[in-house]
Amino acid sequence: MVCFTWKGLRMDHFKKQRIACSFATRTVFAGVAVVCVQTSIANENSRSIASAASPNNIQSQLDTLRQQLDSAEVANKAVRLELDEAQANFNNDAWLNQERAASIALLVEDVLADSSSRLNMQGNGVMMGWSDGFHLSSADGQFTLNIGGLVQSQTMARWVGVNTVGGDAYDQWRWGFGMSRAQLNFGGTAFGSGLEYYIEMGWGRSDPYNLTNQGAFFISRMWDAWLKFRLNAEMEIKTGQFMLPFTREGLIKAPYQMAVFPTLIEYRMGLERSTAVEFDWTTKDRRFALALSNGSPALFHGPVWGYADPVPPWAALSRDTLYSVTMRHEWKLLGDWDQFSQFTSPPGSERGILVGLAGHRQNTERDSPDPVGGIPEGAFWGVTGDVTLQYDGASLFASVIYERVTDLTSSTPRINFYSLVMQGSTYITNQTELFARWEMGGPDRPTAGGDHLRLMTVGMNHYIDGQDLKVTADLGFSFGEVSGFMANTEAGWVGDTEHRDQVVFRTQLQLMF
Amino acid sequence: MMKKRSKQKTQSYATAIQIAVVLVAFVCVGAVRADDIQQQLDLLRERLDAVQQDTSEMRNSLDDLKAESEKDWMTEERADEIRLLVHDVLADADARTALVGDGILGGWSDGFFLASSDGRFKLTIGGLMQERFLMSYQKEGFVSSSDRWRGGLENTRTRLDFGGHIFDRDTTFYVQAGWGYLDPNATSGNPLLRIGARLWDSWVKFKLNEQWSAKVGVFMLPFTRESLVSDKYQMAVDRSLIDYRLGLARSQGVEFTWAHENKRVFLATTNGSITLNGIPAGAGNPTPPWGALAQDAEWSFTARAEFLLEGNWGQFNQFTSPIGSERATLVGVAVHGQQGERTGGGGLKQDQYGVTADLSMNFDGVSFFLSGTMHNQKNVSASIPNADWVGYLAQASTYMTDKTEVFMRFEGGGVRQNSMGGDDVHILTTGVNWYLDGQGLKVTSDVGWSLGEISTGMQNWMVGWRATTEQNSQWLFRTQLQLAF
Repeated sequence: MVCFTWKGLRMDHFKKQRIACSFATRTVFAGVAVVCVQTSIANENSRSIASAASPNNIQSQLDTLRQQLDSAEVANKAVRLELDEAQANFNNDAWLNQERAASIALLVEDVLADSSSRLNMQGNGVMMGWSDGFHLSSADGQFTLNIGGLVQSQTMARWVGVNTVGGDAYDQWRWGFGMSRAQLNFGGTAFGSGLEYYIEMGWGRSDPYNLTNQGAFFISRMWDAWLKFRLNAEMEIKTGQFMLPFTREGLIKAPYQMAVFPTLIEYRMGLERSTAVEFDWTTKDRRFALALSNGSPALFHGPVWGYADPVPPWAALSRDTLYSVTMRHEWKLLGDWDQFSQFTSPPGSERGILVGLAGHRQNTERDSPDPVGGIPEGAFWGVTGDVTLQYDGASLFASVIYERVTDLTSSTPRINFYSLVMQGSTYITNQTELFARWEMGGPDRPTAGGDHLRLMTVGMNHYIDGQDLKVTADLGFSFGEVSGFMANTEAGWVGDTEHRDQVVFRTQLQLMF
Repeated sequence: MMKKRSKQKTQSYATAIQIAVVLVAFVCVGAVRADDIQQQLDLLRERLDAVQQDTSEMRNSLDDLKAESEKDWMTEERADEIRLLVHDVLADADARTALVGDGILGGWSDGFFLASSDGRFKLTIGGLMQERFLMSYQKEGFVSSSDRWRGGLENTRTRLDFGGHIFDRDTTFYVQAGWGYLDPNATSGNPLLRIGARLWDSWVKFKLNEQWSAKVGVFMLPFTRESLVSDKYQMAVDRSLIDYRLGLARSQGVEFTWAHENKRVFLATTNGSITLNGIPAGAGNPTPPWGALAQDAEWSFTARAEFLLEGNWGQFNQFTSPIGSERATLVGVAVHGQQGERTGGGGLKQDQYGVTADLSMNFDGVSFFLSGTMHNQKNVSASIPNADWVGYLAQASTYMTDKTEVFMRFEGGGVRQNSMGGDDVHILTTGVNWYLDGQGLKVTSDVGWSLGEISTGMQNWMVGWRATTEQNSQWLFRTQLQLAF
């Protein structure tokens, strides 16, 4: 430190100047000292940083703070984004997640039920819509009504190659459009799932079996109308009008056939529909059906009985059979029962094997206490066997039928019927299937036609939407004769007893829902 | 020298002061610089604190929001709001009729139904299936070739019922269509056993005011009570043979109804009744509808009055009186007249007048029913100028259990003129009803004995009775499974 010394105030001018300078110097230094002390006290921390730290350290600290600030701001931005998104989700459209949608759906149902009840409709809510068919039902499921439909529209052409008639009566070509069925189905359950009902009605051929000369007429028809009680897991009782359990071809419903129409054999030798009570017993691998009925009108029994209508329903007290029993037993060696409700075996199906055996017996009701014309009561019995094989995209089917009729009329004391049907199919794409069918048989009596029926049918199914929407086209060749007894207007085959090389081409568009 | 030294000293002092001043300036500048850094640091810290605080607040808000989202969001308040919204949407959809289907309700309410949400339109879908087994025995038929034993199964009635209201509740409609006997009243001389597609009821009814309504279409003529009770609500398997002949069955026309408290009156003008062969047009088609210009009746008028002494009207829609029912009594009287249309060629008009009365009494599980009917026909044919028909019926039932009821019915009558058959019908029927689920699912079995004769004019094979001239020579067993929904 610099120190100033003063020696006497009353001296000469230089001395005074010197004293003053000395004093000023000392004062300045003292002031500097004071300023330094004050500065030191006031900025102790800063001075320590500024004085103790180097410029690099200060910059480092600043950088650290800036980094912290940057990180905080990034985190802040991220949280803000998350918050904004959460608020948007909470307040906006995206709030309706699946769970909430379900809750609201329940609430809306409540509202509708409430609205319904306040409108005095006393409904249980909205129980209608589409579930593999249109339906209405009660909320508890006790009552259900399923509404379905079937439309089958055909284009058919027939060619008869040999003119054995002569003259203008020879119609070599015959073609046209047809509609074999336009029907509605009403089915469901009532009073619980143990009782089923089914009604199938609409418009169709008045005589699809060519029993009379009404084969070309179309009328309002009722195909099926039955009630079924489930007794337990294996047993059921069905009563009403339905197909008698005899041939497998007859038991497969029209929309699930392979070709456009069933075989001529089935049209004539199948038992058709009747009014009956049927007992069904089904286990995992076996199925048995026993039907007591008014009898089968097949083989021209209907006209012989005097039925005004070729197809049921018929009156209970009309003349038919004294008794009629039909039974069928099926053994399922592979697969499940459902796959045998149709002939086709779509790609992806599991393998299935079904063997069926059936028998039928009926005795004709007499029309008087005594036999008319000395004819004893007529009898009709038959047996059939069939085997069905289904693979992944391919199917095989074969059946034989033998039937015997005695005392049908005074001129026909006995007729035997034999038949053989074979059918195979394979898919060429996932939706397209080729098939071929061979049928032969008929009555052995010349008075009944003495048929040498031999038909070969080849064709194709194109399943646009499974069986619901499909196109079928087939071409049939007659290698033998088609007697008037076996001919069928609906199927397209006309009587031909002279090997006229008959060919029938059929296409069909089917819509089912 | 001294002066020079002093001057030097003074200069030294000035230099020292200058140095000191410079030092002070340095010190001051250093102090100022340190303050500036501190200020920057403080600012940075403040910003950092602010950002962290903001982040913390947002995180709290986010946590609250998440918690809010995860907890039960459907509060009562929101539910009410959504209810209101749905109501608004429905009302709006209904108002804008272009939104077809948006306001439709459907399901089950004692029958399948479809309805608009505002209740203005409603369609009910019902059905009836009657599966029947009959076995008839007669010692000797009307003709020698008749079969003694005749039996079988049949679908007697398979039909669907479509009803409801349109525009409002005051305009109702009903259509019953399906498969059944084409000649249920057996008006043809030979049994017509065809079961085919047919129409039962088909009408539209307008409510004119609280007491009056008008019905137009095909419906049961308001004459006998047995006819007016539906097929599915009968006591036995089917109506009596007497009612199928002396009841008037269905026709088409207009019916006015007046109802006030315990009285109601039905007034109908129609194409006439077919049951006594009063409508020539019915020969080819025994059930209506018939063509408007077909040969039927010149005029036809039917009136029925009912007096409810006890109970309520709904009890008399059926014959049975289930256990737990209140007591009820109904008295009914009815008249009918019709005049046939000319057949041309000088043919006489066939006139027909009838009267009937009935008494129904329901108790808790027990019921009684009595009725009597008379008809007079003029100019039945050229050789039969007059025919008198008389019929009577008594019926009673009692429940044995909650679901099982036994009943007995006696019916008698017929036409008195021998030229028309001279019937002396006496049939006793006894049977059991087993109500598996009310009238919706029931099994009825009965046995009937014909103690008198049944002429060809009275026979009805749908009911099961065949013509026989021999008295006490026929019996009939019937059993029926009924599903009605």
